[in-house]
Amino acid sequence: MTQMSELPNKGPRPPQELEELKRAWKIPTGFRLITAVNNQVIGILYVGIAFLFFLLAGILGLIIRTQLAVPENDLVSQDFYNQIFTVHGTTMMFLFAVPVVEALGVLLLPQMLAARDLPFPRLSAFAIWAYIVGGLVFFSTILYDLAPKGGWFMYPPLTLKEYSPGDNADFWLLGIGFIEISAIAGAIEIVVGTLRTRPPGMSLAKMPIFAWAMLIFAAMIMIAFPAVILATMLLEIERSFGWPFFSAEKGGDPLLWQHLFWFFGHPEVYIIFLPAAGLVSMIVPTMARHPLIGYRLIVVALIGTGFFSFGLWVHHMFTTGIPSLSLGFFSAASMAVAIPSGIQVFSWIATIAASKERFRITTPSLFVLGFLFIFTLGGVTGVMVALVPVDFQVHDTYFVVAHFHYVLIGGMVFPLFATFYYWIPAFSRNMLSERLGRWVFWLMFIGFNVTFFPMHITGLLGMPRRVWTYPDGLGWNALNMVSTVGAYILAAGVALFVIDLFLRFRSTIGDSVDDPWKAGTLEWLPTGAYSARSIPFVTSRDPLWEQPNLAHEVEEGLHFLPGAPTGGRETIVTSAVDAKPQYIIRMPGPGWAHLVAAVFMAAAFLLLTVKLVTPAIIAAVISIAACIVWGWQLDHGPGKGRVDIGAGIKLPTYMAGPKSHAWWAMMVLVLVASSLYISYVFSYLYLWVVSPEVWSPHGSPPLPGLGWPFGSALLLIAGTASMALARWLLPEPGRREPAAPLLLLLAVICLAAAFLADLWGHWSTGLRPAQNAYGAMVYMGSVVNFQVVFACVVLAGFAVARYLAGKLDVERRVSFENAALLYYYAAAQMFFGLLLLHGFPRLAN
Amino acid sequence: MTKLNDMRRPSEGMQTLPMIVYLAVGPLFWALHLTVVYMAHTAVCALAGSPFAATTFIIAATAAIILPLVLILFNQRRFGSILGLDEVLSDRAIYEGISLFANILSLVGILWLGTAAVVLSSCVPGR
Repeated sequence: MTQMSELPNKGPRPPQELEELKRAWKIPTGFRLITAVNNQVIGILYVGIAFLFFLLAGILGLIIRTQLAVPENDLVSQDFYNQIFTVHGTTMMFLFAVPVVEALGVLLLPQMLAARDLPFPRLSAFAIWAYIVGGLVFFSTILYDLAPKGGWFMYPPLTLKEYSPGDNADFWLLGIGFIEISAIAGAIEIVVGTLRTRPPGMSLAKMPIFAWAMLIFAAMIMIAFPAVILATMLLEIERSFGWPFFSAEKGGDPLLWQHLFWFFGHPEVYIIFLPAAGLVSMIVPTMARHPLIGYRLIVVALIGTGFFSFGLWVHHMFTTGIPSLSLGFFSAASMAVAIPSGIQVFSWIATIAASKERFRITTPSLFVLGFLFIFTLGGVTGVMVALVPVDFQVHDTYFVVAHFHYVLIGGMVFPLFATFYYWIPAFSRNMLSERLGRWVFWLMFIGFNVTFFPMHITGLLGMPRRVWTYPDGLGWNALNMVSTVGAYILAAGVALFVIDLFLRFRSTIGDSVDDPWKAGTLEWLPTGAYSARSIPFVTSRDPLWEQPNLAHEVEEGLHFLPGAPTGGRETIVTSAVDAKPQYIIRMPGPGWAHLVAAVFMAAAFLLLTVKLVTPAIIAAVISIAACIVWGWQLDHGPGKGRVDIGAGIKLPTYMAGPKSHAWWAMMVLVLVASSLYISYVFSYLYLWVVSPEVWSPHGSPPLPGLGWPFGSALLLIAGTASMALARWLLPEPGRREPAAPLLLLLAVICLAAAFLADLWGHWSTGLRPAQNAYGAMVYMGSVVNFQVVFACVVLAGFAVARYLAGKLDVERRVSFENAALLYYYAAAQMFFGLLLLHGFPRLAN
Repeated sequence: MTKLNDMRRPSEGMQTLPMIVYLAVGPLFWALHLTVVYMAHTAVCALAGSPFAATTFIIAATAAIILPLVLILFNQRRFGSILGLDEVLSDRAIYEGISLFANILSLVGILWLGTAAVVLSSCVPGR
């Protein structure tokens, strides 16, 4: 326990400071509440909607179990059953599991880091509204026979137009693709928020484990999600325009989908599990009243799991004919990932065993203990299916259904319920009922095991997954009936929780239950809409335990940034490793632009699904216009000068370049774009390995002459030089330098010309995208390039407009830096594309 | 313990990328190893059809990747300095511990994965 001899600020603080804070962070009321961006408001909304999807998908699960209760049942039609299990899986994975942990990040991270908010509040709100609109429309397709039927992983060729006519599959492809964009927006927020808005003193080594988990979660989203975004693009393009990526007769390969999907799909399991494990790592020490044992090892486990999880995707494809040694690699990796998971389990057990006094058995503790039991069983069956011969036997049987429900419900839903019981007091006037909570736990725990344990046996007896019904006399009847009874017990537990929630949860900001668990982390500081009254100086991992007066000092405004010196919303940006104060970020408040952007972007995707192209384009234009309005309001410039945050530290209120949060966000976006492009390169090379006979020059028209790629490359070099020169020529504040915007325009013209030249070069050879897999991959390269070129054109145009409005100069240059960073990446990507598309076929030939 | 006075001193240069590399160097080697052996096995079998060449390459790649990782493992502090990590960075010992354990975990993972080449035949269809 430490007493701080010196505090950043002296008291008593002037009363107007708190009033300033309250005014700056005021939450809109009435219908304007939908424009709110405070993390506590949108975080609760986000968690609530994600939980609604859990309930809806759970109802579909009950219908599935009712249908399977007895043999030869026809409660629902076969076609509708296919829709139900597809929407059940898709909703649970895409609309519940990932969003709910991202929602918890939005809700809890700023509080745990004692930041006033995440650095891009409107981006969070945008992601949430896009998810709500897109998610609700997607789910509603089940009500009017438009839901997809291909299972949550939508394998082609079943999902190609020939075998899945109608718009059902398109709803999955465009709807889910869109929701993944929302998830990536959230990931950007979490990466930058976790690394740059920690309180002074909270170095990486003092960061709460949940923040570590969310950081790795977001990094995994950045790498994994682009693979499935590319996959959905390929499949939708094949369905709509006949580019044969997955059609074997034209050199495509359905297994390409499986590679791309599972490169996302397996890390997805850990994307869901790691934050849940992070939450457990926060709850266990509190209930044990003992710091987490093995903090360093848990960080190692999180990092290790994050990496290892990307080496497992082929274990979903063991039965597809891949060479046995390759299976061996992935089998080994699948077993190895059990080690970091095991490290975490032992760390929690050690912390429980080291409890001061007795480990407190509360409802959150019960859910944690239930999680340990169920997840460990799921982990054991995970190692079983990592063994290739076992997988051959149980692949696509109910054994696998049992395994992944043990992992996902055990590994994520039980920690989530622990989270609800543990953290609701921080956001509600009342705690949830401990008595009802124990009923909820036991009903869910017993119901879960009664439902899913028998499925191991039904699977071993040979029952395939996804069957609509089954004949009598196979020995499956009793086991299925038991599973169905268990499902209703599980549902009763969830229903009881919902009742408790309605009875006792009363959302509040600033009037919540006061730290009922006596926890050690910062989210239990007294808060208002502005988060903590002052931003604490942190010297340990469990500051509320180690610095006993901290809550009082923070509330008295004796730590950093006790007021709102710029008059608006702001928080401290600290260095990423050692959390030293660097500058003050000025954040936007409530607004309509992000909301309009989200709703119309969702509309554009959904209208495209039903082939209403013109309205879709109009919606997209409105969405982009709203984004521009939104962006226009962000760059305040350095006009407010430096402000005193305490301890004699005066920080600038504006930052551009590599230190700025905007630059970091763009860097994250560049990493996402590069991940998408790497997935494309993999797809190109994969199809070449599968079907070299369709590649140029033997199976397709000869490549364009070398003048085309060299011309494009020269344009890219000229554009890059032009962009660099424009940066050099940015004028001093209040001055004009017309050459700068002209060079900026010249740069994007070069980029667009390079893009068009490459496209025309291929077109002029007679190569067409629908001709074969080679043609499809060549033009897909242009599609992927078009995305970054288009973004560069918009950002450069935006920067030029800022210049014309007198809002761009050598100091106030965030919009330019963002455009330049993306431009350099786009040029590099296109340059690499030239090497691949023009060099590789020549080399391979 | 971190002192308030430390907050008054600006950060020493850019530490983020070196720190990410320092903490994740072992897992990065693991990822590189999996990528190389999986792609090489696929390519050698598809193009050359030589199980001997494939097995030899995988064993050689495993050894080539283990060697630098072992060197880093025994020179954690020096490796951090080479990357440009601040010598007086607060909590440096904790980062060293994280990096060390991550390297050990990755080394086990690489050896475990590479073992497959010793016990299984190359270029044989899985079923």
